[in-house]
Order: sequence, then structure tokens, then C-alpha cells
Amino acid sequence: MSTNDFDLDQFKATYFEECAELLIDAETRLADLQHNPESVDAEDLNAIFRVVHSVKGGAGAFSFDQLVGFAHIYEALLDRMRQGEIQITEEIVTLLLTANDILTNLIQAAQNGTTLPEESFTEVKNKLNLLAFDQPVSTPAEEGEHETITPDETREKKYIISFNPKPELLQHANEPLLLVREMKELGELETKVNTDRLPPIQKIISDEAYFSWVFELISDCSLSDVEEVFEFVTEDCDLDIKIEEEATEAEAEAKQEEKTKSQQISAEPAEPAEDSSEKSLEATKQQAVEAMQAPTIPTPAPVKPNPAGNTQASQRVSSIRVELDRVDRLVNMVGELVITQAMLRQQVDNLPSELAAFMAKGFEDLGMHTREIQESVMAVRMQPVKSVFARIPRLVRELATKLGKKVELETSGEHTEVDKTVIEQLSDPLTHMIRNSLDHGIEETPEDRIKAGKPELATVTLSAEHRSGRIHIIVTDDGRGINRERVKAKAIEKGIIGPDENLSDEAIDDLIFSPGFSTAEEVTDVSGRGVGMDVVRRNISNLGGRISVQSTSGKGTKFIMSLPLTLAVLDGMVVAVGKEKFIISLTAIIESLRPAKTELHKLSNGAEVVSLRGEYIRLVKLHRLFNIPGAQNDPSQALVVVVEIEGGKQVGILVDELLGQQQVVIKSLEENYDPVEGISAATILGNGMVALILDVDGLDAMARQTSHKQNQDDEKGETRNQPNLITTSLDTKKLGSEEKLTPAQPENTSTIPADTASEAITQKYEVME
Amino acid sequence: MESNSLATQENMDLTLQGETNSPAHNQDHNPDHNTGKTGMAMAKDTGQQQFITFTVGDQEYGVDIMSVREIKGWVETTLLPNTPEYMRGVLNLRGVIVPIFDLRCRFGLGKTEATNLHVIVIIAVKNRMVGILVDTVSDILTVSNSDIRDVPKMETLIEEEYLSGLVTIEERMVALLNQERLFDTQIIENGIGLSQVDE
Amino acid sequence: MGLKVLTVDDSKTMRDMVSFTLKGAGHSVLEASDGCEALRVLGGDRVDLVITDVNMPNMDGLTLCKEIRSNPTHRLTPILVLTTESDGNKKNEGRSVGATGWIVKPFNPEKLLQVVNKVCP
Repeated sequence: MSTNDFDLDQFKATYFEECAELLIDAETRLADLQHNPESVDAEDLNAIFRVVHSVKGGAGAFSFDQLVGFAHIYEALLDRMRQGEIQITEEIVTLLLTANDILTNLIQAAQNGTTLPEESFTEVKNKLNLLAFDQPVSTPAEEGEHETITPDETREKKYIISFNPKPELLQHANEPLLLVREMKELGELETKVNTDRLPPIQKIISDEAYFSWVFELISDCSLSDVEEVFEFVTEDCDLDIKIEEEATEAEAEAKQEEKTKSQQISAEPAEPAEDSSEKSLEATKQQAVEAMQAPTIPTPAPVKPNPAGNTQASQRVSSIRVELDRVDRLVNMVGELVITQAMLRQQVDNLPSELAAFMAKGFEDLGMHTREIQESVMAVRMQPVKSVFARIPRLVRELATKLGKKVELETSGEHTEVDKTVIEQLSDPLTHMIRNSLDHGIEETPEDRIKAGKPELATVTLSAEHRSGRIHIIVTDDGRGINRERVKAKAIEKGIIGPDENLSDEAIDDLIFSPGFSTAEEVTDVSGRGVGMDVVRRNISNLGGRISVQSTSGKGTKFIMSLPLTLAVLDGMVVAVGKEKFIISLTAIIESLRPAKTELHKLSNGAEVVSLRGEYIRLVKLHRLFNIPGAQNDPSQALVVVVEIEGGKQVGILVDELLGQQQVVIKSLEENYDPVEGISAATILGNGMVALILDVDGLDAMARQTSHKQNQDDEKGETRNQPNLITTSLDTKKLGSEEKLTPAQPENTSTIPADTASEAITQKYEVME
Repeated sequence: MESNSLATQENMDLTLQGETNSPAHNQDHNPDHNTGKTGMAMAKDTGQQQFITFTVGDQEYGVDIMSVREIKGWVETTLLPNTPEYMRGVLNLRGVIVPIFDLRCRFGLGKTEATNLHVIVIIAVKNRMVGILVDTVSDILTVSNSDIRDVPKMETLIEEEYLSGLVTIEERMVALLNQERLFDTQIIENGIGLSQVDE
Repeated sequence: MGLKVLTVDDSKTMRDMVSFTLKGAGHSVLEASDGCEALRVLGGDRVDLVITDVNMPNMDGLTLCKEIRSNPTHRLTPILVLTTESDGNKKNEGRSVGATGWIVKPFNPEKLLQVVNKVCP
């Protein structure tokens, strides 16, 4: 049969996907091992062993030789460990961790179609080898030694094979007839059956072997080819293979050798292991394998005892894999169900009263069930944060090494569940939080720590917990804490705050999230891309989350990231503008109000502001930005929804009215269309209509872009709200000029420190004379 | 060449609905499909192609039946701010947000005053789903490839690049749409500036 | 006529490859990700051949062999053990628990079909 069309490459994607999962599992278990070496679970070692085993298995099929070579040694060590031959020490665990990192790198390299420089892991490989095989280096060359001698194979020979099966042969489901068939393929076969042992028919037991055979095979195949036919049954039969041939003198030696071997086979037929027949079979097989595939992977495998470990896990979690697409479809349809149900419910009120009461009860139940289905479906998408946490130990190790610090990572709450959509977004900010802790939180050197009266080994704690419908991810270090003097000095130097600003400790700590605070020279390559904490905060806030920092000088720093449990639904406020309805995320809304005329002011640059408890909040007129006719333009007749935007600033969105709070399912607009400025996503309302979810940051940017133009138009068309003169105590020239610069690059203009006391922020809106 | 008249819209709805949620299974994954040349080349192999035809004003247009996912009556849409005039907003198609394009307006012939009698043809364009607002759906056409003519320059009001071919049937001329040219917004220049509302 | 083969492996990659190869040769394939699951499959189905990995969670391949051999229905079903180890040890263990034969990884489609051919009529 031709098998040339079997292209294994198509399985590579599956393989690497599987590797990623396996590595997470191994990481997690190694971390356990590291923290409680005493209470090592045999299953943990077995599981790690299986991970490496599976990685190796696949790698072999794809000829990732370097990966196979390393995995083999790593696997061998794990095997000895799980047999209890090697005790688990701290040193060994460290070695395993390193080995796992190398394995990860090798897989990555294989995925990229490259390899790693051998010398980059020779040292580890030697250590592993020493432990696994009691020898420093495995020399694949040695393996070649028990390759079979390959005599001239092309001559026709006559093999005389006497074959006497034992009952085990049949009990193992081997079938003598198949062996005969196979031999026929090798050459001309003559078969003699010996039925002497066959008892009278009534005494026949089905599994008993009553026949024996003598075969005469004339073939040009090698002895090993013949032996291979009996590969699976050598232990379950008496087998003798002899060669009769017209040997020339030159060939005598080779022949002699073959005969010797055949005698050995017949001499020790049923002796398990380590006899020479086993070896020659071994060699035969290796040869066969090698003949089949060009690049052979040497597999140095010394004999070691390996009990049939039945690793029955005590608790078995049964689960199935489901494509996310299918779940999404289910989520969609449940969403539709909710809408349909709501629509029908509305019709109930139009029914005659006696019918309505009956129907209302039914709808109440239906509503309850629908909600339950919705919750169950959402629960399907929930995943423990473990998969993200599992990558962190490695990050900490690598960073610690790079920075020359001694750091221990403790994790808790890895089983806390969040929606798949959040999981996908967690990794980046978490990486940065950890990086920041190791980079800036922990003292420069272990000596510094000792001087400060702390243990040499620094501790970074990573934890996750549910708190009031959100997930909190907390990274704590026991380092030196934020150096407020330095942060403040730097913020002044960068022009983030004025030199005379009087800030609370919290406000100073918060400066590290300010745009422009982290500079390029501080950005290491550890996280893969150089971004500052300002970007981290922005990304988190784009997900509807918040990040804050708490610090005690000399004691340590704590980052707290809070995220919604799902990005698939959102608690929103439905607002009306003209005939259109929009959703504003509740997490962004601070308050809503109808301003009095006296509270409205207009700045010289065209921006309109509303004064709120002494602060000035810029107005964003939605109907203008979106060209919506028939909306209320006069803020004193409309409503202002005050929202917090990027960097902790506040803006007021002008809407006609609030229609109420609602949890909405977030739908992508970009699935079938393009991004629309000022809109973050869409949802479907109870009446089946699509409503757009506002992107408040985007709106602010749009408002800034158009403020000048609007200003000019307003000058002509409007006389209300003429600029009032406002004076404040702050630095008007500087900030005023910045406002003017904003339209071109709104993102870079906010020199206002994130979350700085809001007084400072709002005071910056200045009126030019 | 033959012409089967389209029994009812409901029928069509049933026939095509099953595929709505699985654009991955249709052949439009091939990004070249339905673009003039490749479409023709494929057609030569199979001999025949089927099109769903619909009218806008006096003109009849056709789209490859394989790309059609659903046909439904006009419903009110939600407008997207600051988008081109022919972009008639989005609607909810069983939980999926689908943009609707006004074909008349897309051809520069003015905005359609949409009523309940107008029809939206939901089609797959590459891996996206979009709706086309048309006046009525008329036929399913089975056309031999040899009957599909290239679009001569200047024969219609519409720019030739938006069409992939012309078919004449019983003295009617059907213009076959190049839907990727027409509705792939990643190709269409989408730069519409902010404009002001008169107050 | 094709065989009905049960492939048992905790690695999806390996199952996919075995399955693909066998299907390509006209056999039908059932899959299980460990010994327990394999036994469940065998509980409801007769198969012509079992191909199993050794190292698996919940129930390893050797235990699976024993279980299969002790079941009257599947007692004589050929079992091939997939092993990475090229030393004789795993094979002997396999043999001692009733395996019919073995396939040494790295996985190779031709070799797989060859061995399947060897143990199945």
C-alpha cells in the first residue's frame, strides 16, 4: 500500500496546541512540587512524566530531533523519579523547572521551524543525563554499536524455520496463519504442519496450541527480515531459524555468524529480556525503523525496571472539549430566547384580564428558566485563571535570573473562574504587573534586603478572588515600596505635574500609571513589548476594569486589578438621544445630572463645560458627534451623564434621557462591519433592535477633534452660553496652550496624571481671556 | 438556459437558513470566488451557475446563489453614526449584527425609501455577512457560463468594476454583481468626515 | 473490508495521526483518551484491533491490556502497544499482560499499517 500521501505536517497545529496545554499542566504541577516537596503526589510525577512523554511522542513523528533528544533525557529522569529511584530535593526541583523551561523553548523553536543552539542547554542536559542514566552525556553513537551487522542480503538463501507456538501465543491474540501469510510475502514458502499433539476432538480446548510447523523459505531477504515476522511471538513459541545455502568461501564468515545467531535464538527461546536474541531482535527492529525514515532519532534507552504502574487517579473529572464557536452560537441563541420571551411578555398585558393572569404566571416561570439557561450557558465559558497563572512561575524565574534577584512566587486562587473572554485578556496586564514588581518593587540585590532586615529571598504573591461580581487579581511584593520622592521628582521632570503641586501619597503612587511616566530606557524586553504602566491601565480600562496600586515604604507594593467576570455581558445604562438609543457601561458612569444654566460655561477654545461642585467637566454632545436630528441641544433641558474616561478624567455626555439600567450581551460590530468611531460594540435590546454601546474614550477624542470647528459654528449660530470668565488658581498659560494642541493627537495630550486628585484635573480646564 | 420562478420568499428563507450561521462551510472562503476572472474560470469547469436576481428600479441584478444566506423583508435598522449614506445601519439576524447596504444608493442613484415591501438579501462576502436592500427579488436563474458576457465599458450607468458579468434572458438584461467590490468595506474607502448638524 | 480499530492515547495529536492513517487505509476508527474511556467504548462495541499508548492518566495501557484480556468478549482481540521505549522492557511487560504486539514511536504511518497488517487477518 502506498502511504506517500500521509502528510503528518497537517497535525502540527494540533500538536503545538496540545503542547501548550501540556506545558501549562506541567508548570502547575512543578510549582506544587516546588512549594510542597514533602507532600508530593505520585500522580503529579506521573502526570509530568506523561507530559514530557507526549511531547516527545509527537516530536518524534515530526522529526523535531533536538526536541526529542532533550525530552528523552528529561523523561528518563522523571521516570526514575516516579519509580522512587531518585529522591526529590530542592536541587532536583530547580533542575526540573529549568528543564521544563528548556523544553518550552525547544517547542517554541520547533514551532518557529528553528532549533536552539545546543550549547545553550548542554549544561542542563548533562545534569539530567547524570541523574537519569548515571552518566554525563548520552552518546548516540554508542547506540549504533548494536546495530545488526548487515551481511550481503541479496543472495537467495533457504531458511529452515521450526515454529512451535505455546498457548500464550494464541491468548495474546497472535495468529500463526498471519505469520505464514507474512512469510509468503518474503519468498517461496513450503509449509509442513505437525499435528502430532492434536488430541481427539472432544478434548480440544480452544486456546491450546496443538500445531507446530516447519517452514522452508527460499528468499533473498535477511535473517532479520525473517526474525521480524516473529517479532511479536518470540517469547510465546519455540523458534529455530537455520540457513541452508550454497556458501562460497568468501561468504563463509558471514554465514557462520548468522548461524551462530540463529542458534542463540533457538537455544534460549523463552528467556525474557537481556538475552542476545532480544538484542538482535532489538537491532533488527531498529534497523527496520531506520530504513523506513531517513532522519533517525537516536533513542538511548538503557534498560531499567518499569513496573506496570496503574495510575488510577482517585478523582476523575470528566469533561469534553467543545469548540468555542458552538458555545458562542448557544450564547447567541439564548440571547435571542431572552429577547423573544421579553417581547411576548409585553403582549400579555394586552390580553383579557383572566387570560393575562394565567399567561403572566407562565411567563414568570419561562423567564426564570430562561435566565437559568443563560447563566448556565455563560458558566460553560467560565475557566479557572490557572491557565494564565501557570505561565507566571517561569516568567518570575527568568526575570529573577536576568535581574540577579532571588524571588519566590506564591500563588493562590488559581481556581477562580472568569469568562473565557477575560482569560484571553489577562495575560498581558498580569505580565506587566509581575514585571513591575520584580523590576522596581524588589530591592536591587539580596544584600540590600538583608540590610533592610528582610529575608534574602523576596516573595511575590499572585492571587485571584471573586469580589462583588468582579474578579480581583492582586500582585504583592515585599520589596522596598514606591519611592515617592523619586516618583514625584520624575513626574515633575517629565512635566506630568507642576513643581509645586501638593499631592497625597496615594496620588503620588498613582503617578506611575501616568502616560509618559515610564520611559523607554526602563522598558526591558522581558514582556516582549515595551509598554509602560499607562498602557496597562488603559488596556485594563478598555476591558471595563481598573488597576490601582497601594504601597508602604520599605514594606512592599500591591497592585490590584479588578475586572468584570465576563466581557460577554455588560451592565449598561440605556440612554436616548433623539430617536436613537445607546448604551453606556455602568462601570464608567459616575453620576448623571441636569445642570442649571448658571453651571454651564464655554471655554475660549470652543469646549463647553459644566461646573460640578467646583470642578469643570467637559461636555460631549453626542447628537452633534453622531449627527442625530431632533435631540436636545441645551444641556439645561437635557441630561449630562458624567463618565470617567482614560486616565481617570471625567467628561459629561449630553443625552436626552435615561431609559434605565439593563444587562446587555455584547455583540461585535466588527464581525461583519468595520470599527465605528465612538462605538465600542453593539447589543440587542428587548425589542430585537440593535443598540450601540458607546466608547466614551473615543467620544472624548472625537469631541476634542471637532471642538474648534464647533466653536466657530457656535459663534455664528448661538448666543446662549457665552463664555463666562472663570479664573482659577492654576497655571493657566501652560494648560491652556495644551488644550490648543490637543486636536491632532488626543491620546498624547493628556498630561494630566491618571487619577490624580480630581481637583487638579478639572482645574486645568482654563478659560483664555 | 432556463428560468425557474421563485415561489415565495418564505421558501427561500427555509432553504437557505441552515447555512446562515456557518459561513465557514461555504465556498466563499476562497477569497477569489465571485471575483470576475476566477468566477468565470470556475464556471467553465461546471458549465452552469445559479444566480438569485432582484430588481432595483428598472434594472435587474444577480448574485451567485451560493453566497445568498437569507432573504427577508425590510425591517427598521439601527443607524451607525458617520457612515456613508448607502450604509443603512445594522440589524439583528438571530443574534448576529449585520450591516445593510442600499444597492440603489451604492450605485449613486439616490437613497431607497424603504417600506415593508422592500427586501433585504443577506449574502456572504468573504467571511462577513452583509445585507443588500433591493426593491424585489425576482428569480433564480440557471445560466450557462457561455451566456455570461463580460461587462462592456460604458454600457450601464454603473461602473463596470462593480459587475462581474452580464446575462440576457428573455430580452431582460441581468447584471451580475461583483459583491466584493461593492460591499467589502475593507476595500471601499471609508473616509467620511464628521459633518455638522444644523440646529 | 476495513477493520474497526480503537485507538487509545491521551495525546490528541497521536490519536489524530493514528486515526488519519488508519482511515486513509480504509479502516474505521474509534478513539479513547485513556484506559477507562477505552473500556467504556469496548463495553458497547466489538472492535477488531486495539492500539494503545502505555503512559496515560486514569488507566495506563498495560492495565488496559490486562482488563481486555480478562474480558470474555475481547479476550482474543489483538492489542498493539505504542511505546517510545525501544528497549525490550516495555515490550516484555506488554507481552506479560497480553499485548499482541507493539509499535515503536516515533510514529510513522507506513510502519503502523504494516504492523496492523501483521496482527489482523
